[in-house]
Amino acid sequence: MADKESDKGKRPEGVLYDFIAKMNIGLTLSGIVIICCIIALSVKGLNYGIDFKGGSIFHYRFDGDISEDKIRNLLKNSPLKKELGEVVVQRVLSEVDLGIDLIGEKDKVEKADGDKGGKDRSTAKKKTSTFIIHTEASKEVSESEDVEPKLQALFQTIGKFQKLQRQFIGPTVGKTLQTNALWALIIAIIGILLYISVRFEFTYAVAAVVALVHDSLIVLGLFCLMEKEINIGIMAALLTIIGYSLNDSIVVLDRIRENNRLKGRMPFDARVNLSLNQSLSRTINTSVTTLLAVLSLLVLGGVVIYDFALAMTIGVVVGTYSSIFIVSPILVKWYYRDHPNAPRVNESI
Amino acid sequence: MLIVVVALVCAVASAPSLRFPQLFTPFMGSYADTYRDKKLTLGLDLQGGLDMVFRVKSKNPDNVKNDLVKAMEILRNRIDLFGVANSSIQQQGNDQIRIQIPGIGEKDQRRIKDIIKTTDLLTFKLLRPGGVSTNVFALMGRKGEDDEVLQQVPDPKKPNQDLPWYLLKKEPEIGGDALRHARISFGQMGEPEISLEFNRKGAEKFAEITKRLVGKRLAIVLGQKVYMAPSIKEPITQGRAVITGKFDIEEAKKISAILKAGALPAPLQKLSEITVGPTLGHDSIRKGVNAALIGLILVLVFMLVWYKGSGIMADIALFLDMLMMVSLLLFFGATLTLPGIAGIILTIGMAVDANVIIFERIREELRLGKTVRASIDAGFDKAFVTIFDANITTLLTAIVLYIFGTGPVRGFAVTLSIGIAVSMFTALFVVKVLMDIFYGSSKTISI
Repeated sequence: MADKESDKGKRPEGVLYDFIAKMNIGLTLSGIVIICCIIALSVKGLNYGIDFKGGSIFHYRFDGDISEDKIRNLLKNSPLKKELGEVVVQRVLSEVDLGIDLIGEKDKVEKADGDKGGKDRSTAKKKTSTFIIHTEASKEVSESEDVEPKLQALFQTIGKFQKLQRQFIGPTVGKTLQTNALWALIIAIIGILLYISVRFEFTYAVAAVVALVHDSLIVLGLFCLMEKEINIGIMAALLTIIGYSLNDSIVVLDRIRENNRLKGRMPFDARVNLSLNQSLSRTINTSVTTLLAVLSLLVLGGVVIYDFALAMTIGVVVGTYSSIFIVSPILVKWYYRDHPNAPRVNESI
Repeated sequence: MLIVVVALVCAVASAPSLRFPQLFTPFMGSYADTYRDKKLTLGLDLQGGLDMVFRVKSKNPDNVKNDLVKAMEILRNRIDLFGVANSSIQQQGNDQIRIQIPGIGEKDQRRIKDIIKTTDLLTFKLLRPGGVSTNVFALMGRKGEDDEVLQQVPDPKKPNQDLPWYLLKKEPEIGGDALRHARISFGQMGEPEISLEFNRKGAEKFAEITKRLVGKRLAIVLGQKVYMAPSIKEPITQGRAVITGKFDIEEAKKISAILKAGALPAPLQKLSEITVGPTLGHDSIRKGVNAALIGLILVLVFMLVWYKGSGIMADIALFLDMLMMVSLLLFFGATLTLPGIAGIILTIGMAVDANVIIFERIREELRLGKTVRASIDAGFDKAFVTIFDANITTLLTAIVLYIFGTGPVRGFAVTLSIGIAVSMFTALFVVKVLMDIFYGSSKTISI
């Protein structure tokens, strides 16, 4: 006979957190945040990168400390103005600027031909400025002329530079990608709804989906506010976050499912509360391990992967939050709407 | 029994990646041979290189399929003749061709783009009066709707020359499809030349052109580069021309071979082009690997601290995870991209999740008063369902990403999927085996 103490899944300290009693606080908080995100998204819109909009980016690194304006003026006053059209010049923050310079990047100098010797030990304190230059889609379609060599001729007037990357995405490709991304999201969500409905119950599926929509909206909203560019990598991050948030939600739902079987006589809300407490350590620990990995990527991964890692970090944190504070309240409220006369521990539901 | 099976599977699965420093060659025999040449393929974003997607724009839409196949063949020839290794030319969708050339430096990138893009490889274009200058912007200022500005090809005999630019009429006077031959010959001083011989119709046209343009200069353009722009002193009726001067024998061979390979059956519309310089690639690899190592250490330490003895077993399982993941990537010939590395890092974090679920379960069972043996069994049993459901959903999103994604995103989906599968295996089997060995008959458990 299992004794009552362990029955309640008491923490060593003997405390049972009453999530359900406080569930309205969580829901309200989330509600406010979600509304803010929706407002931000409608007003500001997402900053789509060239993956979705089409266009060109030229990613170049210059020696010395060059300002954005210098590059901007250079391009505006050049004969290339017509070729390039509307140009956006953006300085790329280096690891130093982002505050993640743990390896002492600012003291290193990258040789232009990729020093294969591995560790570059030269410590000449050379400052470099890295820029991304965006141009519109329509301007690069000319078949016979390539603007890049001319751009490079222009850059030579500033000083030494190094080409890091160049991308040209035609306008049709962008549209295709938008469609694909949308379909990917839709299919993923439908698949999830189906799978959880089968393994659990339809209401559980809805609760889980609401949680992950909540997570996605928050990540997108924050990215919108931070004016970060949404490209295909961020889409991938978003889908991964959905998968991960689901992971967490399932851990909780699984325990609820089990307690439904084992403790059928307990009132539903108490049952859910118990489940939450019992799964607390699993949820938090799994998130901690994933967070450790993702933070490592954020801090050490460099600027190219920074935005992706940021999305993942926010996603993991919010995903954990939503598993506890969104999924269960929805289940509880739905249950009591369907079964208004079922017993309950908390009068306020 | 289970122990033996599991151990065997792990050994076989991990062996290939242990071969990286090729330490175990003597033991592996023929099995080793399959892996001898397999290196980890690096994606474009890690190696640097060129990635282009073209649409075949056939005049007659029914011909698209044929044109596409022919075009791929011709492009393959051109690229091979150019001498790059590891290039990949693939069909994408119904009417698109994707060309990927990794590890190619910037100079070569430029040349090969030129060689790929043009339908008319060799063209003769009219030079506008006074249209030669080293100041490209002076020419750009004069450029009209019908004109274009192209640069001269570098002369191997004059490496430091400031390359002049030419202002040309965009529409070619005559193109390479009028050629019958393109041959290497040698000039008076033994320098390589390319002799062109036009076919009958071409010769007639060429005669007409040169008659019309006496006193003007006709630029010979190969790809997007001007090779020479001789003055036309008199009409050329023989249908022959010679290109001299700006190449060595290697280049001459290449050019004539490319001209022989033929013109494309239909124009190619460039849909997208991504070039990554090698610096960015090296940077990314270095940082990615750093992040992975630090992440790994952090997670290992966490598991050790939180779950003590059992944590060590989870850590061993994590090591095996990494080894097996790399082996599987090698085995499938998968390409590693930067998001792929991110996928590996993510897997490091998520791989232990299964272990966490199992361990927490075991702790609960212990609290209920069960014996060590019983708790372990119950823990694994009950946790299985949870792990299964949770991982399947992540796998689902990884599959969706693979289907709808391209290049780097697919790399991410692949590493994530492999990681999930492998970590499920190690968590459920390897750790179980280890725990059976160490705690199977003991009264206490470190967890």
